[in-house]
Amino acid sequence: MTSLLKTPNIGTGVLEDRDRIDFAGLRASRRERVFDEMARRGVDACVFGREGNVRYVSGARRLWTAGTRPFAPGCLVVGATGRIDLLSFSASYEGIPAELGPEDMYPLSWNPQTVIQRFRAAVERAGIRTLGVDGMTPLFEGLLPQAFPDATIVPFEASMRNLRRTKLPSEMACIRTAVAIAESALYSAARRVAPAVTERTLQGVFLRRMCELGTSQFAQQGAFTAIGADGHCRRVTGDGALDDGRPVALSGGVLWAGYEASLARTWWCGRQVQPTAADRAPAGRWRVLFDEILGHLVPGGTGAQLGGLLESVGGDAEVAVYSLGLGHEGSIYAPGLPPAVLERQRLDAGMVVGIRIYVPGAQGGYLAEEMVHIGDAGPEILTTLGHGTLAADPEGKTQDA
Amino acid sequence: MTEEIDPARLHAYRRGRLIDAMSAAGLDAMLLLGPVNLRYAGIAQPVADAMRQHYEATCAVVAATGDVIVFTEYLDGVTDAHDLTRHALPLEEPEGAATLVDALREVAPGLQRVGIDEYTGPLLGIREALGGVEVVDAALATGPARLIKGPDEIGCIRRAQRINELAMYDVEAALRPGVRQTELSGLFLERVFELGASSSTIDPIWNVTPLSVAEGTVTANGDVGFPLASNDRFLREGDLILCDTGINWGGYHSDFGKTWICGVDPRPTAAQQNCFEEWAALMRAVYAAIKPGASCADLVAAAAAITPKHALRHYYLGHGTGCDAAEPPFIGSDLGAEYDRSVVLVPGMVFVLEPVVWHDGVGGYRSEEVVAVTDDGFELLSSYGHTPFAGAQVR
Repeated sequence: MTSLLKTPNIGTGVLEDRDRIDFAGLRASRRERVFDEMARRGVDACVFGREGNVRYVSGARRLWTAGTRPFAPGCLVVGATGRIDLLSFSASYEGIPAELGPEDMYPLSWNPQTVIQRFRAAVERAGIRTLGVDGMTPLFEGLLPQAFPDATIVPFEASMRNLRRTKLPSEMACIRTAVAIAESALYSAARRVAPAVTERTLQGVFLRRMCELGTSQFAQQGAFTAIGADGHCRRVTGDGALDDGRPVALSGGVLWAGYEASLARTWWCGRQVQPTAADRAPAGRWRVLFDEILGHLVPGGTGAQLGGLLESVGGDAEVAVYSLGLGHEGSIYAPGLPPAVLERQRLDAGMVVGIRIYVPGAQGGYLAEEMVHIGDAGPEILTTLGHGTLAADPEGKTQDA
Repeated sequence: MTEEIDPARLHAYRRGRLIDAMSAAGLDAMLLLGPVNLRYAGIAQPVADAMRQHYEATCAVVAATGDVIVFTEYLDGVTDAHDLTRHALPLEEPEGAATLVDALREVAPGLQRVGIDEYTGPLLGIREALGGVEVVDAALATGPARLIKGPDEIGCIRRAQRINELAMYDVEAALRPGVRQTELSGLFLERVFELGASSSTIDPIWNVTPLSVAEGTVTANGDVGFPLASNDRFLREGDLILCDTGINWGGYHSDFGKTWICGVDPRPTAAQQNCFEEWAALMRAVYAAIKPGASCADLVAAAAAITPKHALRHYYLGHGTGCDAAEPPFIGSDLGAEYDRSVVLVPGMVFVLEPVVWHDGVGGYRSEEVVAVTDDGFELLSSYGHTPFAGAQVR
């Protein structure tokens, strides 16, 4: 099985092929890691509200909604019993893994007392002295002690994030599949780049192709924007149409089986107008910067080291390096992060990172994002999609071919 | 009704209400992390999956004086030119929490009472960090502020609803045997963005609904399973589809739910048509009860007079909508009868009515209708008909 797992183009619609990922084994491994981490930290139980954590520990495929909601109990994990109590939006067994039965679910409620009463009734509370949470609101800060009167509440998000950063082999198979979908969807949008096409059309094409490839859940709905002549790259798709002779930033991300793949490219929009050397210059700088950063993506590296590198070679480029898996798992490097935070962001073998670089130019700019798996032997670039004409030399040969 | 939406007027209205509500709640300052509250305060951020957005967070401190500091990487999303902007903070790290404590003291010297909408792990210690300052839920101010919508807010919801409905005409035409749920989702997403949507906010639901509870998926509460997450399942002749989609335009949500039938020539059975007729009678009774001064309990009573068991157990009559897809007021929910009696309708309240009439063995009918309370009654912000049960919208 393992040899096949590196195949990125696992057809998502083929049920037999889907068995190449041992989801039951994946869920068991993830759950075990969470219980081990709870034991290591002396945490008796956890209440998770964030979908990434709920999915990591329970394996449930629940209704997807955009954006964050204030903390509310999405599942309760009890170390001593190994039990998981799960909020199911539909109250239904569909999307819930086999190891959880109907008795392990509780339905959505608008009344926060309902879930508190369930926790009171269902849990052997006496032994719960330390309760981990991945968020909180003043409301639940008042209510949770009613269900766990003996417990001290401690933050557990950082533990979950650090745990999730190191990937299991089956997680890599999911991420590779997500990458294949994201690339195909982004390229569909890239092929539509032409004068008079609207930015919104590109966004629509990206999302439709993503759905055709088997998932309707986006990690980020993406930004499809013409880069301004002042070098400004908007982060949100606008209402306008593309002009002849502009670079167009294309970025987006998808989820497959909960795992994220995000990437970005910049495509030249031109029918009569061809890119000049000045139009191409940012893409050249992008390549140099990316290769420099790639060289630093080794086990033991830190965000602070990346910060040092960018201080010397980054110039005015905007760079973000972050961990990816069941969604965003925190920044390794981002502009403005305090030095002490950067120092604590450690690169380990088994991590997947996104590298997003925007290089502003004299009359445009170049945005691209790649995903990289940090292996013991060195970094492996997971994204395979080519970079288009801006990154090609004037004879038309792409630099990364 | 004018379609004109004035962004400056909209922002001034919301900021004014927010500051007034802070004053009424006795808050010197608020710390806002929730994207819905931020959006209400005129601070937008790119839409992403929740798992991603937690780590690309925007946040703000808002003083009762109107002074605001926004921590964001998305400067294009800051509406108010007077707001100070700074780098996004690492909210999951102690350094980020410490910066927010400093920022609160900076905008509100002499701070005594602060509202917070949610905590990250490091913010769990903010009470200690703020010394004797009283920390309360920011909902004390954001809740009352957001409850009553101004004309521009209602204009945004109206536009969101129209985009959603226009896209659903195409989707309904594509609902034929053999189509995959993800194909319908793809068509929907493509159309809403072409039509100008800011985002899609829920994975489109194409709930294949059994005709009886016993035939359906096992559920924790004994009801028919809804909403079930979509996948690449394909739909077949005669499938009863409860669809549910929602988009955002300009920070405001639409809500679209209908009952459709998948078929070469989709037609309800006579018994299914009876379900719909009962649903229509229920809705007419509820509509007749909507006016300023009525309570949510009056709406629940009007529904119950037509159909005593107007809902399956975990369904309810309605919920508010605005910057959040589902927000107060809740109508006929498990918050209970006393809550329903306590909520009195006021012009500017916007809510979605979504009762279900269910005849076990036959199936059921569910539709969502968005209503804005006006000075003398209500305005329907939805306009879609009830095909294949009835062409025209029930009013």
